Amino acid sequence: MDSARKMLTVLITTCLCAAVALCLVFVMTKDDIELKQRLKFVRAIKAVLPVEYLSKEVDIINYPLCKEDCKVCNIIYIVKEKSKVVALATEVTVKGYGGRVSVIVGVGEDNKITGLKVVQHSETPGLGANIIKDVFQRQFAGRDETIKLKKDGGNIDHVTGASVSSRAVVKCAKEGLGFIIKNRSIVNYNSG
Amino acid sequence: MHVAPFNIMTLFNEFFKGIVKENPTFRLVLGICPTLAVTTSLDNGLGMGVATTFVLVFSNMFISIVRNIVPKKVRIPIFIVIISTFVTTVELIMAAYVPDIHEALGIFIPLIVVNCIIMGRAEAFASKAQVLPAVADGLGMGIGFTMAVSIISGVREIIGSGTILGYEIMFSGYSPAVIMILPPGAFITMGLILCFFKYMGNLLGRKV
Repeated sequence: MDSARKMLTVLITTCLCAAVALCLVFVMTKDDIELKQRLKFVRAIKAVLPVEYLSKEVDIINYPLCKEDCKVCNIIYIVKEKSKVVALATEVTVKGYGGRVSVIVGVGEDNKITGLKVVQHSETPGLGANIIKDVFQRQFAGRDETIKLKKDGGNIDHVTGASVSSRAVVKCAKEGLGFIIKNRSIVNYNSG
Repeated sequence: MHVAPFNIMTLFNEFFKGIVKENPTFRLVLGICPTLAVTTSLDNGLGMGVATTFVLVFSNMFISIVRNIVPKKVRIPIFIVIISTFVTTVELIMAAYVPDIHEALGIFIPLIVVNCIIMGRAEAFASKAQVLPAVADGLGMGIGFTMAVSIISGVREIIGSGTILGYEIMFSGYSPAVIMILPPGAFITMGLILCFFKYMGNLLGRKV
């Protein structure tokens, strides 16, 4: 009985100490973690803006657009520079070759893509993973809804050896663009 | 309880044995899961190595401190609590200060908890040794592990992507052997380096 009590005491004390230590670490790192996530998000949004805005301060406003059942909530990001709307952006996820591919698409006032950035993917390293390269992503700027791979009769060069991954990005671009064009009137109306 | 005589030489021995003689990856062949999984590029390998070293040193230290008050029957749960506390600490710190490496390592940071090097050293060494030798052992084993994953990830990154730490280093026109950064590349590299260590060991006789 005595040894059982000792075991319990030691176990409980260890767990308590561990919990207290973890609380301290959590509180210490919380702000930094949030800041880093925010920075990463802002970098991703800025990367889809036209080149001249890359070094400028921009405000990003989240504008959630829920579908009827409200299970899928797509957010349109309104990017403003000095209260002038620069671009609208949204994140699109489709199925790629090795899993989901998430892309942020930026759309300008002229309903053309201003830029695009792959934010998450699990494509094959060395092949499909090359969709994150600038050479590939830059091609999307200035395209409209007729966007297609050269292979499929369009004007985008696919990544060597990875037409499935490339096609996924093109699909994201198309869907994002369509989504923003469809909802542009609501967003502009609401954001004044 | 028998306590080994304490001097600076034994401390050095505990430290250096983890680097070559009992290198956790190449000699003891422990903790192979993260070694194979995250060594696709040198910065991932280094990140994993440093994180593991941190956890090893501190878990060894604390396990050695509490070794005399922990009842034998509950030592494993207590070791796990101590180890996972430091793993969570390292994960939060990495998320706060090196978010890119944190993201690249992903699930393998929480999985340091079950890395058998750490549990192995806790059970085989730290729970029987004084604090300083335990820390020296943890540091040596950690550095040995870091070197091992750095070698493997360096080789894989150079051959598999033609880069090192993200910089192009191969001659222009080099087409990377993608297989090296896919899972088979990990086994091939690891196997060849293991062979090399074994061969060197045989060459140098029983001294190694």
